[in-house]
Amino acid sequence: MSESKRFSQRVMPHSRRLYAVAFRFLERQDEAEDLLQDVLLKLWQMREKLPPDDQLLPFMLTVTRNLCIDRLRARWREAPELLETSALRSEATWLRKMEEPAIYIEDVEHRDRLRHLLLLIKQLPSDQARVLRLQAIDDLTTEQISTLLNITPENVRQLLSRARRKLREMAQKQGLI
Amino acid sequence: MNKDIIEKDFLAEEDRKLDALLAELHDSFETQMMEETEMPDGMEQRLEKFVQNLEELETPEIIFEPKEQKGFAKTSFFRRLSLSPSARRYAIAACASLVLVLGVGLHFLLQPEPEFVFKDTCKTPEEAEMQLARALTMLGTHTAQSLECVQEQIDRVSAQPDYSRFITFE
Repeated sequence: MSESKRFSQRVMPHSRRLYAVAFRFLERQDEAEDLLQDVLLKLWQMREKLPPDDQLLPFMLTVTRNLCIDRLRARWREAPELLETSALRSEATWLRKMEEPAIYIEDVEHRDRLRHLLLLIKQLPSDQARVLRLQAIDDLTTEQISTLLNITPENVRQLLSRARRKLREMAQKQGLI
Repeated sequence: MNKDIIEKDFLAEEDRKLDALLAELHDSFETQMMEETEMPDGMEQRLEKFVQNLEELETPEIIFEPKEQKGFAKTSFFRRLSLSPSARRYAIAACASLVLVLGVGLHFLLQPEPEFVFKDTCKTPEEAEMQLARALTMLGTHTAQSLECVQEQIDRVSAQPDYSRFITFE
């Protein structure tokens, strides 16, 4: 079996997942596909050092997210006004989508709890909500968030800490936790 | 103190609950995202083809082209070595240091040794005796001249009046 076939067998089953992540970040089909090719090329170049199968997906997701961050930064460097509009749009999309998790959650109580949590997150200041979303939902690390939003890691940690404290207080007050 | 610990434990417990809730949200979002995101038509095939072509895309570096090459290699030396930019910088610095060390070393190594020429002063003992006599005569003459000079100075000083008697000490 050729090397590219072996590589394909390992990597391609995850392509849909990688595409979903790329699309979520870039919000454009053509750009997401282009990015996926970059991801595959990068993985191919490091094919000798790829982690074992059970750790491959998290690794690939990290590579994808990092490349997405690079692209978004380049996009925002060219047109800084896109940073805010894109962040706002993606946040709006996220909230709109997340307000209807019902379709995939059959347990009514569970569904309501998540909806409730979403409403609480919506009440957070926008910068705190954004950082919390990037960490808790998009699985970005502090360093990745710092690179993406062009703020210091210390600033990210501070925003996260404030967001969590505020969210915990609100959730506690409303009997959610 | 106890109150502090209880409060801390309580907050840690609340944090755990919040983390669990956020994790549920994360999972639900992941499920939803996977359900809703459809790969565009033909994209999977395009990616498959891309992966299959990766081996071909990875063209080997040209190291030597004897037919086309006339005097100089077509690709640069560092490109042929496939070095990254930072590695290139290190390689250039290392080469420069090496050249410098070799240059300084060679400079000192290749310096001509000073020539020590041993030259005999005289060929025969008679000649040597004559030279010695000349040297002693020269020494004697100069010594006499020096002594005359010294004597002149002594005479000049002693010819001057004695002023010491005008100097009084209290």
